[in-house]
Amino acid sequence: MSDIIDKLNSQIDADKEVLSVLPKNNKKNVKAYQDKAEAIKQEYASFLNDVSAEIKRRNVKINSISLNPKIPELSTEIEEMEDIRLVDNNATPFEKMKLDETLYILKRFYKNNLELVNNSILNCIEIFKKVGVELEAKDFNYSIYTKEYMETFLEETKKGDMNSQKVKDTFEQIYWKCSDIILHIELNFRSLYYKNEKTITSHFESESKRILKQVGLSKEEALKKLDSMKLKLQDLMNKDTSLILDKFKSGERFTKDYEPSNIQKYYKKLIGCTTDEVEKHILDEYNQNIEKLSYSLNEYKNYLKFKFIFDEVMAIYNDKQKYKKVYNDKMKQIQKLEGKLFKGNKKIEKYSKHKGLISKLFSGKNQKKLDKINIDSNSQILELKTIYRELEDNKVNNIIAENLNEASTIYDVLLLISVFYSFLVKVIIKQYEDMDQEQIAAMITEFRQFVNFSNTTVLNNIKIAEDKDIALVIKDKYNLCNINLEKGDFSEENIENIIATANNICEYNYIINSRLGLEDIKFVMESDKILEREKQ
Amino acid sequence: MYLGTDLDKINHDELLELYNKTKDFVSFLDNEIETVEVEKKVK
Repeated sequence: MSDIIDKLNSQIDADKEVLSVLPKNNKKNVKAYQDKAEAIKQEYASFLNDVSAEIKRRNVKINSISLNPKIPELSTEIEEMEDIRLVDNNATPFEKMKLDETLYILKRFYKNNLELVNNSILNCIEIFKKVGVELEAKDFNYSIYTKEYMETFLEETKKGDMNSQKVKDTFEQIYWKCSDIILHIELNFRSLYYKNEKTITSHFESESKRILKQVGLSKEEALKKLDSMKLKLQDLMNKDTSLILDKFKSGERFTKDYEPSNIQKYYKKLIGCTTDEVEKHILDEYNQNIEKLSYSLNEYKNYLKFKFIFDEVMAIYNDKQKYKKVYNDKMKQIQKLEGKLFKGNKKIEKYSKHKGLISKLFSGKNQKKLDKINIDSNSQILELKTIYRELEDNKVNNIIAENLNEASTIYDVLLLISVFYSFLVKVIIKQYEDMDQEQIAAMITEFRQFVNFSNTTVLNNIKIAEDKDIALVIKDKYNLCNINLEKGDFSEENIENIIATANNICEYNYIINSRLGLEDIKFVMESDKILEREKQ
Repeated sequence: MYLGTDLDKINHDELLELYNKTKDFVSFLDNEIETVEVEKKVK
C-alpha cells in the first residue's frame, strides 16, 4: 500500500479511536460526542472536496484531448477525391447516377408507405436533373395512370408539398383502377433512362474529364493517391488519442484486454516469448509484422463474410457463354414493346380528349375499343416488367462475362460487383431470406467499405483461376516473419481469437504511444462515474 | 488535512482510493451523528 493511503488509514483509525473513548451516557456527553464527530467530519469533508477537485482537474485535462485536426482535414479531402470513382469503368451510368438504389425502393414499394415512395420518385427526378435531364409530366407517358399521377405530383411538389392531400387522393383514386401504378412509374423511369442514355453517358464522360483535370492526375495516379490518403487516414485514426479514449468510453473496448499480463500472453502466442525477452529493434520489427497480420486477418474475415457474393459472381463467370448477346436482344424486345405501348397510349389520349363527341357518334363501340387498348397496355407493361428484370440481371451477367478473365484476382471480382446495388440486394436476399431493407442496405455499405478500403494485400494477389487456400497463404507468409500461426487458428471457431490477439497487440501499442497510458484511460472511466454521481 | 504529499503528485489509483476511503469515512461519521441523535432523544 502506498504511503499516502497508509497515512489516511492511520488518521482515520486515530479519529475513530478519539470518538470511541468519548462517553455517550447522558445528553451532555452525547452532545459533546456529536460536536466532535461533526468537527472531524468537517475536516474530512473539506479534504474530500480537495480530492474531488483534483479528480475533476485530471478528468477535464484528459477528456479535453481533442481529435487530431489532420483527421477531419484529410477526411474532407478524401470525400472530395471520392468523385474520382465516377471515372471507374465498371459501373454503367445507371449505377453511377445511383438510379439502381433509388428504383430499388420503388420496386419494393409494398414495404414502404406512400411518403417514402414519393420521396424516391422525387429523388429519381433530381438524379436525372443532376445528369442534365429535366423531366416533366409529359415524360411520364408509360400509361394514362403514370401521366395522371405525375401531373398532380409535379404540380404539388412545385407548390412545396409532394405529400399533399391532393396527391394522396389522386393516388388512392388511381390505385383502385390500377394497383400496378408504382410499377408503371418505376418502369417509366427505366425507360426514360434508356431514352436519355446518350445524354447521361456524355455527362459522366465530361465529369470524368473535369475531375481528372481538377486533380491534375491520370486516372491510375488519382486512384493511387486516393488509396494512399485512405491508408494515411486509417493510420491517423488508429493512433489518435481522443479516438482511442472514445472506444473505451463507448464500451467498444475494455481496459482488462490491454493489461500488460494479457498483452504478454498475446505476444507469447504470436512470437513465442514476452516483450522483455527480445531486443527493442527486433520487437519493433515484430510489431510492424503483427500490424500487417492484423490487416491480413481482418481482410480474410471480411472475405469469409462476403464469400457468398464472390461465389455468386463466379457461378455467373463460369457460365459466361450463356450471357453473350442476350442483353442486346432484351433491349430490342423492350424497344419494340414500348413502341406499341406508346402508340396505344396516344390512342387512349386521343379518344379521351374527344370522348363526349365520339360517344354521341358511335355510342358504346368506341368505349369498348378504348377499354381494350387500356387492357392491352396493362398487359404490355407487365410483360415489360419481366423483360426489364431480365435485362437488369443480364446487364450484370454480361459485365461479369466481359470484364473478368483468368488473370483477374479475387479483389477484382469483389470490386467489380460492388457497384451493382440491385445485384447485391438479390444475392443478399438469396443468402439471408429474413433480412429487412435496412439490414440489407447496411450490409451493402459494409461490403463497399471493405472493398474500397485500400490496404488489401491478400485478395488482390490471388487469381480466380488459382484455387488457393487463402488461410494457408496468410499463415505461410507470416510464418516466414517468425510469427507463430497454425492452420487451426483460421478455423471458424478460432479465427475471432487470433484476430483479437493481433488487434489487441496493435491497439496496445497505439495506446502506449498515444498521449495517454492505460492508467489514464482507467482513471477517466472511473472518474467519469464519480463526477456523474456528484452531479446528482 | 495534509497527508504529507500534495494531491497533484500522487498517481491516479491513489487519488481514487483516497476519494473512496474518505467518502466512506464521511458517510460513517454521518451515520454516527444520526445514530447518537436518536439515542439522545431516547435519553
